[in-house]
Amino acid sequence: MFSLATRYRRRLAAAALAGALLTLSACGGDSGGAGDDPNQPVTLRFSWWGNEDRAKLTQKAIDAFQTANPGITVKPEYGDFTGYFDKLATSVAANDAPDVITLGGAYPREYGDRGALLDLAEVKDTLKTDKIDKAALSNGNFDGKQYGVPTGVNAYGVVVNPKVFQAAGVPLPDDDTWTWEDYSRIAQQVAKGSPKGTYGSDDPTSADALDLYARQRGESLYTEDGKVGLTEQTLTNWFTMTTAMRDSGATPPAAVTSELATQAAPEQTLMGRGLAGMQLDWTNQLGALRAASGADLQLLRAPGESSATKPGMWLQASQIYTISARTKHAEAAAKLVNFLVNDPAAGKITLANRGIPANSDVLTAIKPALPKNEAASAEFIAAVTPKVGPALIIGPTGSTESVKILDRTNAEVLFNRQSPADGAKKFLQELTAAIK
Amino acid sequence: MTSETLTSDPTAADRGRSVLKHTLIIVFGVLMLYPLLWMLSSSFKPSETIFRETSLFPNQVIFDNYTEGWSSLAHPFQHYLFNSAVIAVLAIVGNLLTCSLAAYAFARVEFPLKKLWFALMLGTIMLPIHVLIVPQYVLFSKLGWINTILPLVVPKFLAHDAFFVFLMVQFIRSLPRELDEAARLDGCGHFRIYSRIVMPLCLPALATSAVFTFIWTWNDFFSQLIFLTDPDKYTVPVALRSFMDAQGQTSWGPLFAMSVVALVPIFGFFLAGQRYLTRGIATTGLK
Repeated sequence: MFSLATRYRRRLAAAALAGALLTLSACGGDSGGAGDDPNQPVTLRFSWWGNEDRAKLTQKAIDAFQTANPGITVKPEYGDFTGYFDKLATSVAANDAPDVITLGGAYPREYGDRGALLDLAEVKDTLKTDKIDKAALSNGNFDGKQYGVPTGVNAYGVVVNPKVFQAAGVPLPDDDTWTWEDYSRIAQQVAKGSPKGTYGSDDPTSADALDLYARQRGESLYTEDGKVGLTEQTLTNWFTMTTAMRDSGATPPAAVTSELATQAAPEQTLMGRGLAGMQLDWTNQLGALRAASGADLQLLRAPGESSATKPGMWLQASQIYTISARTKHAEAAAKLVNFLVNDPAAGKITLANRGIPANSDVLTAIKPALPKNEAASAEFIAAVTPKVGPALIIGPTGSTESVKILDRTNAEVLFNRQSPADGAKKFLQELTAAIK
Repeated sequence: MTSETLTSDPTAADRGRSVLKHTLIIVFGVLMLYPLLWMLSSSFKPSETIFRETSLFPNQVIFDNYTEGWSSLAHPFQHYLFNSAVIAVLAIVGNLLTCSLAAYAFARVEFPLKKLWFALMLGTIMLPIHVLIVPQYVLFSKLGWINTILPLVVPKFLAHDAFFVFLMVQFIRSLPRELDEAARLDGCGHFRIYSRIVMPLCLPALATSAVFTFIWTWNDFFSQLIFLTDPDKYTVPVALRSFMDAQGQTSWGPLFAMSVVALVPIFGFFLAGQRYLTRGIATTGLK
């Protein structure tokens, strides 16, 4: 996902709508399913977001599932990301939710808290989670209830363009030892050695980057009990660093950054256009960024990891399969999810389409078959797995606001309308108000 | 512009002003058209160069996006065009038939609480779709209509588009009542007056309604997304979204190519109806 984080949070309107709607539906949530007759033919509705390629792969996996489980018919419902959540919010509010629902980011918590999702403890005999990566699994676990199972994992790191580095005559950084000071310095060197319009890095500010930076200092953007965990000092330091990078020409001027902030597609980023040496991003963006830039981009660990109090990087569930609390076929739905996440047969069909598989057995089985870009992501994730910090604390309800607030504050700071300290103060105030 | 060319004297000063005016209008027009032209040009570029070479003139013109876009979804693209066309045609028929009937009643028939009903009807224009969508969904789902085109079409046969009712009421009010009275003397009832006198005179308003209904239905993404869940029933706007992928690998080229294809019917319909459209707007309402 979650460059997707951006887009998730951009779906604020949808989320607000979902919120209102879910409250409507929350009354009287009977969890059905326990008593259905296993021999009765059932039809499951399975919804996900994504394009036609994903639909074709998923349909193949569904076919395999139906062959193995005669009597269960799976009806797919899919659409692009933006419309998906509008549609989901409506159908959940109208008590007509699909049986198996794909979610991600803060959505499982939002839907789970409002009683729309089945506690998977009810189907734990059918749906096994013992082989799933613990950190990713915890992204579907809220207040002790497991609402979802991750489809795969992603990590947040640095994407570098060796072509830009080479042209600028700068060697690639050593990601085992580099610090944020190195990041700024190298970005400046790259920008200096590059033609006008090419930068060392894009402006690195994003909610994910802040979380990373905070975690390295023993903090986190959100705390376990749903409060803001980032301190003003840390955020001030961050803005001081990014404004210095802007001044040194390492990152683009404020006008370019604020223009980029409105464009979510990887093809439209500086990295995607081959105009940046480095960019903080999610591992699953590698393929799109490579195709767009036409360069053999590489993944590096985030700066500051080795010198940090605690490692800031983390593994995160790319998407999460959940089961509707109102499904009449909980067992069948659990069977489907179990097949999709735990069966190497399904893994061999969908490969890394929904992130690098979180089930270790599945990953081993499909590794040789992974295409080049996914193999590079898988290799990177395997390399960082022993070094990453604890699972990320997912933001509470309302935290989907953070991206908008951050975009706004960042523009104020980069355009010098607010000092780093004032910007930090303002951001934390607004974020605290948003998640109340 | 027409009146301008008709009345202007061909003196040099006037001609100069006219040239200047047209130049300005053309420049502004090109500016407004730029996004469309960019999409058109991008539809002829290889997908991966679209955002790297943003010039309006492609370095290399390819047609692969059209062939690929047409066939790369679950169904060939004409399938979605057909789905959209069915809904659009039914919506036009429904709107023309029932909105004009409702409008006639509001404009010409006396009945109790007419003002109140009229105000309520206008009030429905102001309700945002977000307020309506859940109750509608519940209703249609209880009727078993989800995943059929009925939720998109049946309301049109119940004069659901208050905007068009209002448009036609205003138009009918502007027609001289003497015509009705003459017809009444000749023994016509309401239905005769409606079908023989008022409707033929309402042609511009009907054309306006038809054009707008077509454009709005053809472009309607949200309700088609919500009510049609089966990928086989997807319409053009929903199908176009299938080219996009949240993971980033959007097929921009085919997406732009099919967007161009999807615009052709609108463009055609607009060209055909434009004459009536401007007349309809000019003669309804404001006097």
